[in-house]
Amino acid sequence: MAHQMAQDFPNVRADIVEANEFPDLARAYGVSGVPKVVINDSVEFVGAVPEPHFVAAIQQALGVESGEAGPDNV
Amino acid sequence: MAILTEQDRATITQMFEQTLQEPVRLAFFTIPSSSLIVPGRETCESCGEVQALLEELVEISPKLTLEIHNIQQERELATQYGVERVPAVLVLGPESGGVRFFGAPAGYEFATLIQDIQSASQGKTRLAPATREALAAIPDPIHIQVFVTPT
Repeated sequence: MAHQMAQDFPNVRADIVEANEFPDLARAYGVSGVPKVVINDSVEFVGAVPEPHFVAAIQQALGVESGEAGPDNV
Repeated sequence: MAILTEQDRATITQMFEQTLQEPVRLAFFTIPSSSLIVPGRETCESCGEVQALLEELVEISPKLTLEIHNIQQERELATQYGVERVPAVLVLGPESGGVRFFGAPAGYEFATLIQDIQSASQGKTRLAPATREALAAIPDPIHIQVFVTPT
């Protein structure tokens, strides 16, 4: 899903990082379960989430008010 | 040694024939392997295998090309692409640029790579209209990192 967003929006960069190959990064971001998603180094969640939830996390990371029917906190 | 089995190749060939439209470039950043291990010098364990996989993959369709960059010799380009680590794979369609893999695209991530190539080639994804609307309203850079392990 992150890659689809990066595909469609030029301001989105989406990296898939293989945690075992980059233990330093995994440590820095406190990765203990996967998939772990980190947005702009500020908002993070673990596991697959529905698309609206993912969008809400991005909005939260950017400090954007999310629209109606947003999920609770991520 | 081939990494893709005959069956993998047949499946992907058929899929690419049906779905690929515009050309897609795969940019691969690597540290070429050396037979000598020099203490203190950066090495890349999985780079060779990832390169072999990508070489097999681009052979499948004439719409795919692979460019191989040595991160140690092409620092400027690496910086331009925001690549600081290897192996790194970027999927570059006519319009896209932000789709990257760090580490081997193995297991489930290989399926993601195949899907990324198809969306880059078609210039479209299956994002919901609400997602598009929400993202279109955000002008700032968004950096998403997804940590995975091979499955």
